[in-house]
Amino acid sequence: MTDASTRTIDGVRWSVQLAAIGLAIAALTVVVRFLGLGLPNPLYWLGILLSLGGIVGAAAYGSQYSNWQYGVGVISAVVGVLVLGYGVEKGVLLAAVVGVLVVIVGAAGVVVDTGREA
Amino acid sequence: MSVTQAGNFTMNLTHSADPIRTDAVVSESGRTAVQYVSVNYSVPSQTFENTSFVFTVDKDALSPGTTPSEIAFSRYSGGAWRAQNATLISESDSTYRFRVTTNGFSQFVITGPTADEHAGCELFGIDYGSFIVCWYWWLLAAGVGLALVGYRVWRRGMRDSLLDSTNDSHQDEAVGGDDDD
Repeated sequence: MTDASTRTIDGVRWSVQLAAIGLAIAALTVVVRFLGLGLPNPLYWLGILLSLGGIVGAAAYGSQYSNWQYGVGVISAVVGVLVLGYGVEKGVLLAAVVGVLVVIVGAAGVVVDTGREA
Repeated sequence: MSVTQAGNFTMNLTHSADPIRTDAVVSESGRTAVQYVSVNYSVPSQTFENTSFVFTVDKDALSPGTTPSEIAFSRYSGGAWRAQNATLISESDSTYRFRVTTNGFSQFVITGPTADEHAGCELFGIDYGSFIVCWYWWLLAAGVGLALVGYRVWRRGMRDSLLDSTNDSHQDEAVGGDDDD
């Protein structure tokens, strides 16, 4: 295994861990708030920021030992969820449908690419 | 209320969620009528002095997140609704209780913000606000993203484990072959 590929795998590992920690922080603030205890809003958004940063990092590092389909798929799925949310909140059916399609296509791209690599 | 006329008189107080008079309807953008109130009486309006109301509003009748200061009590006068100065006097788990002094009796309405004004981003009683979309969409997006990158890592981990075990078995075979020789 070359140094470059080791660095890439380490990058993916650290990025995924960062994403998981961020999501855990965000989820924890929600659970704690649900139980009636107060936690500051910035902590939730900090968790989301960490998580998304980790996801983007993992997608970028992962694309280095795979192809663009993986990275684009991950980012598309994330963006698709946000587009879906926008469509639902604003009552824009087209945006909601596009969001769902982008999520499905993005996720399918990741699954297919991963299966091909394996 | 004090009455400056001796003798009997009648006073009917009617209230409804729907307009009682077709010409006295709330049309203000961003506000919705909680209850219309109509007071009819059989004596001249000058008969009454120090007119005031105490009224109770069910919290369930308000859009979520409405605060007492956003509840208004208005009197229909001169073809328009004119807000009266209502004071919160008590609050329970399910109601707000106000006192309001008015310039006589007439058509009244209690209003609050429309549901859209308070659509907010509350989910299960939790509201972390929004950035372009509500907070929970960001949580969902991060969850989907993490699931996808996690899936990749998980599959690679399985593949690497399989490769390791395959290599180990090849090495064992090779060692076994030497022994046979």
